[in-house]
Amino acid sequence: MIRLSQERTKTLLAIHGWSGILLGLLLYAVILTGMIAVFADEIGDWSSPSQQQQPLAFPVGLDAKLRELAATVDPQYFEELSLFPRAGGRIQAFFHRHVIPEGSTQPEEQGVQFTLHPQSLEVLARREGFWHDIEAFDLHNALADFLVKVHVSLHIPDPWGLLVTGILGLAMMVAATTGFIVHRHLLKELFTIRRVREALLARRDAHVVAASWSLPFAFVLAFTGSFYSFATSVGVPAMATVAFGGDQVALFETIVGLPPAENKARTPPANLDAMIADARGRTQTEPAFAAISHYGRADSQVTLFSYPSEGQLFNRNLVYSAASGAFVREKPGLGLVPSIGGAAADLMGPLHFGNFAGVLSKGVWFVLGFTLCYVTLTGLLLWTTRRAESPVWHRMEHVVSWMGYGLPFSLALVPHSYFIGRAAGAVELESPLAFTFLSGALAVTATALVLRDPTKVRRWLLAATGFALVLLPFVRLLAEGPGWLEALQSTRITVLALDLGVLFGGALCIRSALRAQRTSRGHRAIDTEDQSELTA
Amino acid sequence: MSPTLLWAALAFVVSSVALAVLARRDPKRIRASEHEEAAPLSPAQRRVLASAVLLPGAALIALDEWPALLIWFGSLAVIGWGLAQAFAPRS
Repeated sequence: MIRLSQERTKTLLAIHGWSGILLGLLLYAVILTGMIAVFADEIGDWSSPSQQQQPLAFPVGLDAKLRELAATVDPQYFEELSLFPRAGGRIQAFFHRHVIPEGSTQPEEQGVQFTLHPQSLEVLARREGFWHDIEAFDLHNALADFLVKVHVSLHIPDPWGLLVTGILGLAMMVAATTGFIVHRHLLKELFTIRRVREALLARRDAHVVAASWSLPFAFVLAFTGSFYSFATSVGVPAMATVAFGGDQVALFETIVGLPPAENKARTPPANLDAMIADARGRTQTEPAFAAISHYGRADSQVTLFSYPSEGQLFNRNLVYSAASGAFVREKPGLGLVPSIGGAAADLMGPLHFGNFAGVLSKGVWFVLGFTLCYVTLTGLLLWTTRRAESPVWHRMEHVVSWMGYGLPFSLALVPHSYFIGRAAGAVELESPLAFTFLSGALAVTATALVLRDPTKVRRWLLAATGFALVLLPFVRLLAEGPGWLEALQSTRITVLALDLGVLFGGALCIRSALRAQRTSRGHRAIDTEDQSELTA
Repeated sequence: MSPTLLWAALAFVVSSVALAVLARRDPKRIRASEHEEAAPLSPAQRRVLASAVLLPGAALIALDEWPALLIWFGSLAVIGWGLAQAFAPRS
C-alpha cells in the first residue's frame, strides 16, 4: 500500500482519468485490434485456406523453384530475396532491392513478388512494383493485414501512425502507473465487487478489480508496444543522427552485424532445401522466415529465422553461406554476440505477440487483451458517467458508448465484406474493407443519434455485433469456403476452430445484450418501487 | 501433450484451487456482500494460501520453464478476474 496525501491522490486520479479520457478511445481501438491481431496468422488461414494443411512451411523442392523463378527476374532485384509462408501456407517469394522513391526520405522495397502454392509450388500470382503497391493486391492476406494495420498504425501513413500508437502506449503506461499508486488497497480488494443498488459503485469495483488483475500485462503490453512503435519511427533515425551522422545503413551494420566482404562474382547458390533441413535439426522447429542477400553472388548469405522451439522463449536466427551452403553462425537479434541488451530486445517479441508457445500462449494473450479492453472501456464509461450532469460530459458518455460498442460492430462487418468481395471476384480488397469499416461506423453513428439513450445504444450495438459474428461462418460458406467436414478431412483445423470461436463470441454478445435488457428493466422496476415508497 | 502445456496446466490447477479458496473466503469480499455465509480466512490462512498460489510459479522458474511460467502467470490473472466476477453478489 502506498500512502499518499489526499491532495496527491486527487492529482494522481486526475492524471489517471485525463490520460485515459484524452487518448482512451484511440487506445481502446489499438487494444481491441491488438487482441484480434494475436491470431492474425490463423485469421489468414481461416479466411483464405488452401486445399490441404501443409506440415512444412518451406517444402522440399523450393530450391529448384527459386532457381527457375530467378531466371525470369531482372538481376537488379537480387539484392535481397525474402521468403515467408502466409495465409493457407502459401509461400511468398519477393526478389527486391531497396530504393528511395522521389520525394521520400525512407528507403522502400521494389521488386518482383511470387505467391507459390504450398504443396505444388506452382506460381499462383506474380506482381512487380513497390511493396506497398503489391501488398494492396494480395487477396489471400487482405483481411488479416487490414486488422493488423489498424492495430499497428490505425491506418495512418508512416511514420505518423507509428508515432500515434507509440504515444498511446505511453498513455496506457501512465494510466496503469497512476491507477496502481492511487488504488491503495490493491491486494486487499482483489475480489471485492459490491453489486448493490449503487450501480456506479459496482461499476467502479468491476473496473478496479479487472485493472488490478491485468496490471502486470498492461505494463508489459504498453511498454513493448511503445518500443515497437518508436523503434523504427523515432529510435532508428535518432540513433543514426546521434551516433552515425545520420547514416542509417552504418547503424544497421553495427546493430545487426556487418555483411561479409563484398564479392560480386556470380556463383550458383548451394541447395536451400539442405540449409532449411539443417536449420530444422538445429532448432527442432520449422523456419518461419528466410532472407537471402545478393542471390546468386559469391558473398550471398541465407538467414533462417525460427520461432521458439518447445520450452524456449527466444526466436533463433541461423546464418548460412549461400554459396557453399555451410552453417556460419547463430546470430542474436541485435549485434553479433549475445548481450543483455540483445536479450532484452529479443524478449520484446514473445512478450508482445504472445506467440512463444503456439495457439496456447496466443489464447492466453487474447483473453488478457480482452481484459484490457474491458478495463479501458469501463474506465472511460465510469469517468464520463460520473460527470454526466454536465452537458459536455453527457455528450462524451454518448461518444464513448458509440465508439466503445460501435468499433467491434464495424470490425465484425469487415470479414463479411472480405468474403463477399472474394466471391464477387474483386482484384483488390484494401479499399472495399476500409469502405465497409467506415460504412459500419456511419451506421453506428446513425443508431447513436436515433436512440440517444447511451444504455440503449450499448445494448443494440452489442446485439448487432453478436448477429454479425454469428452470421460470419455462413457467409464464409456461401462464399465457397470449405465446410466443416471438408476442413476436418483435410486437417484444416483452423477453419473449424475460428468458426466456432466466432459463433461463441457472437452468442456471448447476444446473451450479454439480452441480460443488459433484463437488468435495465429490473432497475426501472426498482426505481418505480423507490418512487412509490418515497411518495407514500 | 507438450511439456510446456503440461507444466503450465499443472501449475495453473494448483494455483487456481488455492486462488478459488482465497476468493471464496476473502474477508473484505464477505464483508461487502449482504448474503455471504462463508467464514472469512484468518491472516495466517491467507498467507499460506497466497504462498500456494505463487509456489508453482517459483517451481517453474526453478525448472527453467519460462514459456510455461508466462502462460501460468497470464492464466492466473484471467482466472483471478473471473473468480472475482463469479463470486460477486448478483444485482
